[in-house]
Amino acid sequence: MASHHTVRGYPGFLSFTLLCLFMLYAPLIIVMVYSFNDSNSISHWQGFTWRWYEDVFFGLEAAKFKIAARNSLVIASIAAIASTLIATCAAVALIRGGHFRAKTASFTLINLPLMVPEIVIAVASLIFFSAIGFKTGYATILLAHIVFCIPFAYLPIAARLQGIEDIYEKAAMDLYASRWRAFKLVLLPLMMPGMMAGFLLAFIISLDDFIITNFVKGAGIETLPTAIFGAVKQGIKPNIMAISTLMLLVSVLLVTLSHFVGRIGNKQK
Amino acid sequence: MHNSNSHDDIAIAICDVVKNYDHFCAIKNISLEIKDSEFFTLLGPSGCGKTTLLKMIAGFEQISTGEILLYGKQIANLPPNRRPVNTVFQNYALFPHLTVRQNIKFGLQMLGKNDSECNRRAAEMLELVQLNSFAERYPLQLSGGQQQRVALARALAPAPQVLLLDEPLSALDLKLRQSMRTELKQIQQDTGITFIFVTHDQEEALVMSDRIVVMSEGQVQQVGSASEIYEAPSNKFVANFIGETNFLSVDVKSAIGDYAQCRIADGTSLQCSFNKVHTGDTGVISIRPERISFCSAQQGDLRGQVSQRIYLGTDVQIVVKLPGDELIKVRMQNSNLVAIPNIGDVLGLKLEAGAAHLLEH
Repeated sequence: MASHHTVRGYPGFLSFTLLCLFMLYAPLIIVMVYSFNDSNSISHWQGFTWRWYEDVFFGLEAAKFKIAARNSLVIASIAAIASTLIATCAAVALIRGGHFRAKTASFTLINLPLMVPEIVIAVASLIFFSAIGFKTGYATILLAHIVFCIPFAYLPIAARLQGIEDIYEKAAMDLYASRWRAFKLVLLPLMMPGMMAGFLLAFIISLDDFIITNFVKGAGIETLPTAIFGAVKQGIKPNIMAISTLMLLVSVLLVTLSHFVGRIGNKQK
Repeated sequence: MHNSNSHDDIAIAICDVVKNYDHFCAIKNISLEIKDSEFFTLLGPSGCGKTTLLKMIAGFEQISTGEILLYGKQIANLPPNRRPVNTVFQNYALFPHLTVRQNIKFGLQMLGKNDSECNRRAAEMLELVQLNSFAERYPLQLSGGQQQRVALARALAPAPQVLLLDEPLSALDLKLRQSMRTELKQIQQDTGITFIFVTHDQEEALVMSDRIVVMSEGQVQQVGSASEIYEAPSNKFVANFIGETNFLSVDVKSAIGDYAQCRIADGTSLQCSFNKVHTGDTGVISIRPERISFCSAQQGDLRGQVSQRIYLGTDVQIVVKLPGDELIKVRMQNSNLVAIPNIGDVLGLKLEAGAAHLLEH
């Protein structure tokens, strides 16, 4: 049978797969289920309720979470837009710029933040901001987010651009389009699915970031992850599970959206 | 070099053009004149420089030295978007995010034509390539042949002074390719636009072209009409590349009028046509297989023994061995009216007048 020759035929394949899936998703499922638990305890099931969701939106800490959520969304939006624009420029320069010296170096520099431990970037950013006398706060969070989102936005954009032959721009120029119009009317629309995917990925990464944000945020400003962490320090209440479930939902929606955007793009190509 | 009254009938003049890359020379000094309203074909094997030459006319490759004149105007230094020539690309390069109609309108819009003008012209082009009912489709929803027509319509829409076609039929299957040949030729005649067509397919070149340039290794081998190139090839490369032929080594004895007297290895004398001749030299003659017929061993220009018989459907190919061991291919129509020789027969070979052609080198 063919399956003996594929990885599916290996002994223990099924049980190992199930174990991995369990380790990955069991914690998430527990959080989701217990966010509907009608009890102050986080481990003892006492029946179904919406009250922790009510608590998130209307409870004592609601105002704090609302501000944090707004900060997170605004920062993620701006950071995703800015990093997508920068990543697009970088992708066009690296992939359409022909051969130039330091091309490999540039490519590595763009992608290096993916490999550097986040804590190192966090500490370095904090030291850098204080060294140049930049007061930590909203602006420092935004700057840091734009910077670390660039490689995440770059990857899908570059992958897309690599798949677009330069013959389309040539055809546009052959049909009297200037370089700029060939870019705007032909290359940019063809790159759009990659840019959307890059934007969504950057948005999620920014929305989700804790370590760097926590270092550079300064006093008095919270994003959703730092606010949640702050609340958890005073003991985990079920409302944290409700917030976590909501964030999970937003992430899943965005990932699904980016998947469909990618599919549309592939059909077109 | 070019007097002003020749500008109207010479569409493209390529003067001493050279293209050097870092490590090799793609075009070694080419000069060509392509006439107005002509279907002109650049023919040669891959790597002969034909596509490079086309790209230099389009503006996608820079020339190293020389000049390219479009109706007398120097265009070699203009970017592609400032040259009034359009290209049909090998894989069409249709914009996948635009509909057929938007693709066709693209060039007109870039030229700043107003909306009604663009729409009128696009409708005209859709009519020309018979794709009216496909105007709102996207390129990927079309078949290869239809995409090919859209590419043609898009390139013709801005009414270019010269249309460049880079092996546009090579991605199509045989039947479609054959019907597109006639269609392309028809469109060229109807529009009166100068076509410069690149191909490695000699049959395609012979069928469509007014004139052909045969290229090899970055050089022009011969320029002429299809029949000139086929009937009177100037050298061994051309004779071999276009169609099938037989080569025989000869001594050139004398040249009187249109014919040269040549002697082959076994001492037989043959009358040969020529483009250029040096008497006293050794040379090579080319004889097309279909211009030889059989007769009795006592008659004929050559004599030999049949060594092979190959069935080709419409034709039969017979290989005859001459006394000097040279092999001669003879092609005859597969017919019941004429006896087809058997292997081992000793027969005479009769050459049509002018069938033996003395090559230049």
